[in-house]
Amino acid sequence: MSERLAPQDKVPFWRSPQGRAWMFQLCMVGGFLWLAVSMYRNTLVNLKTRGISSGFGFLANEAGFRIGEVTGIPLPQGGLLWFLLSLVAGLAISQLIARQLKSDSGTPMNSKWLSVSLFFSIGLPMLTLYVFRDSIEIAHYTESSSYFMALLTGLGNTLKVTVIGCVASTILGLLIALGRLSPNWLLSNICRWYVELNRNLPVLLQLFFWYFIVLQQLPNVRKSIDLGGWLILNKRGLFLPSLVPQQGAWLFCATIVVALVAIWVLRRRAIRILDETGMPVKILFPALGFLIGLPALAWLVGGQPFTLDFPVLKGFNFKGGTGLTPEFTALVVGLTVYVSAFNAEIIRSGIEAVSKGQREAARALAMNERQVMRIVILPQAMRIIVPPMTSEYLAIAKNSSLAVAIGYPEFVSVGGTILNQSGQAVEIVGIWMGVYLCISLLISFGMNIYNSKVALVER
Amino acid sequence: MTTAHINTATHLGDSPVVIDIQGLNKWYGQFHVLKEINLQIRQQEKVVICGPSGSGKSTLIRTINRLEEHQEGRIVVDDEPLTNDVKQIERVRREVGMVFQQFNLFPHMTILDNVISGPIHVRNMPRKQAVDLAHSYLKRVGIAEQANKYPGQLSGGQQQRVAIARALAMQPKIMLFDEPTSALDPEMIKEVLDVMRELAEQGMTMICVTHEMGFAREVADTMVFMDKGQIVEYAPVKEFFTAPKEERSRMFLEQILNH
Repeated sequence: MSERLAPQDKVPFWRSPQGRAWMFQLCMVGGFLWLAVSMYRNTLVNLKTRGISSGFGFLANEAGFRIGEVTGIPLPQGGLLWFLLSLVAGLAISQLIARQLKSDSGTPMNSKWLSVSLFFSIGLPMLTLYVFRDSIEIAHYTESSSYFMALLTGLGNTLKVTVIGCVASTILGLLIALGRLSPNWLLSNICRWYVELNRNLPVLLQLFFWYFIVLQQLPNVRKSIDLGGWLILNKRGLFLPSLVPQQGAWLFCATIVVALVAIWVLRRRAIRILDETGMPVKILFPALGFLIGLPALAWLVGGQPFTLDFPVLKGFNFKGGTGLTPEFTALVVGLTVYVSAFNAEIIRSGIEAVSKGQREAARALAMNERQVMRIVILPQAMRIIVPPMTSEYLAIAKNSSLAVAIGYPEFVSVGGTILNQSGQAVEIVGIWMGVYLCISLLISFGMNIYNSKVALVER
Repeated sequence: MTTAHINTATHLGDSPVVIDIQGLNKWYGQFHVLKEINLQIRQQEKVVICGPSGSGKSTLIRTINRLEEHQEGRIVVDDEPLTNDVKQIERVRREVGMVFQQFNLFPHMTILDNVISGPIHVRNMPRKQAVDLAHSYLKRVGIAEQANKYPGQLSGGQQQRVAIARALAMQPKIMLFDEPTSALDPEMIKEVLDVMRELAEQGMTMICVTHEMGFAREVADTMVFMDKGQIVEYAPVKEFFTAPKEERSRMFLEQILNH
């Protein structure tokens, strides 16, 4: 009777929790393997019966079709490689410095080390870019380029829309959010309706609206709206003079970077003086001096940095200059407006989620309303805002593929053309998925790093 | 209307009045929260406000630093009348420290940064001086060694002591306590009350909303009993506890002392 039963004794394995877990696990793995193998074999058989060869060799073939909007692709050789190398090395070094300092003293870096790590992560790549500027080649797609080049151009167009869309929708979203929070009844209601209208209509519908309804109202080429050649607007797009870099252009750009660095140093100095003496230092005028003075000096020394290339009417359209196609404009405006409504709600709810007590505590310390916002509310709102905002950025990257519907040649649209021409469906779909996955993971990665910086320390 | 309160705490007899509230009325919409409040508080006086919940105690002390605005009446704090003038409100707030029931420390800042935030951003004090000041106050409230931690890493009692240090670092003339121990576990109440007791001994002018009657009996000069938005009884502490004049305050005391 005194015999003790250990819990795992004499239980048949199909009645023990571990045994059951293993059984289900094995069934899942087996099922998944069977699915994968049968899909693979099915694909091979189907490709064979249709006489389609698999593999990525076709990417080297000549594309032969026109792409309406070409983004320059820097070729991976010479200067670009050095630039990428120095970028990676610089980021790695600054990360190492931060980690070393943290493990040494347990405190985040002071201003001296911040400058060093900023030099490595930004200064070094910039310097490399400047030194190797002549060996960077930018290729432009033509009809005789390869499929691969066509895909890269499509990817470039996608990234262009994504980056502009993310930045613009954040700024617009912030403005709308502040508008909604404002005590002004009219303003806050206008912003409310903006949000409700935009987030309740499908984004594809909104793209159609901008492209077919708004932009098609513009006059045709012959009756262009023309502001003395500086700005020409018609159905074919918006045309502006382009900047053609001359001899002194690099020096000019370099001095702008130097001026920005100088302003940063100036600001750190002002903060230090404020810390040490309690005296606020105004740096607006010296900063403007640097920002205008240094490039002006470069202009005097190196000559005119840029000349202007004006668009001129040749045949049926304007040639030269730079411009925005209606497809690009409709896509960027449509995505920005759509996503900004979501961003506005995210930012507004983030600000409102900071508890009322925080605001009261800051006011009780006699902070003014601007300080309350800057020192207490916004830093806490950020940690609520960042994760959902990441999803919105991902949405922009992925929704940019809706451009297919209005004919903007982004990644999916170009890939689709290649798919039609070459019939390499498996490969193209694979590339699509792989590339979008990479873009999305990169955005998530960056936002996660930022999020970990604003996250709260809990017990 | 002005029942000029005779201040029976004799040692304060001729101290100047630092808070003067006359004919104060406040409404939340239709709801009349504060009715004809008259109250004078002298320098170094310790006032404890008690009363059932919803009687307007918190609202009253929150009008003193304008966290709540009042619709009628006159509030003068340290010779500065409270009006809609933002600058005037900020001047008053600089001289009036406040400690909240829910601590309200800034969770994204270290303890030290919490304490120096007022001196640096509002008083424009040099950082080094502010840090020294903060350390001395943190030492006074007994948490000097936690300066580099975050509020989330501290216990409730420790957080409330930091909140007191943060308010003191502004070097205020008056301290307001809004139920400072109501959100604390019983064993942490004492450590916070000890800090407040010490502060009282050093001669700070204090107005305290609390249910800690032991603390009130020991520290307060004057008791204010409120009910339904009115001051029902205003009396020296001894008188209030031994011979309350009003029936309503007698009932309240019975309930709170014999529970």
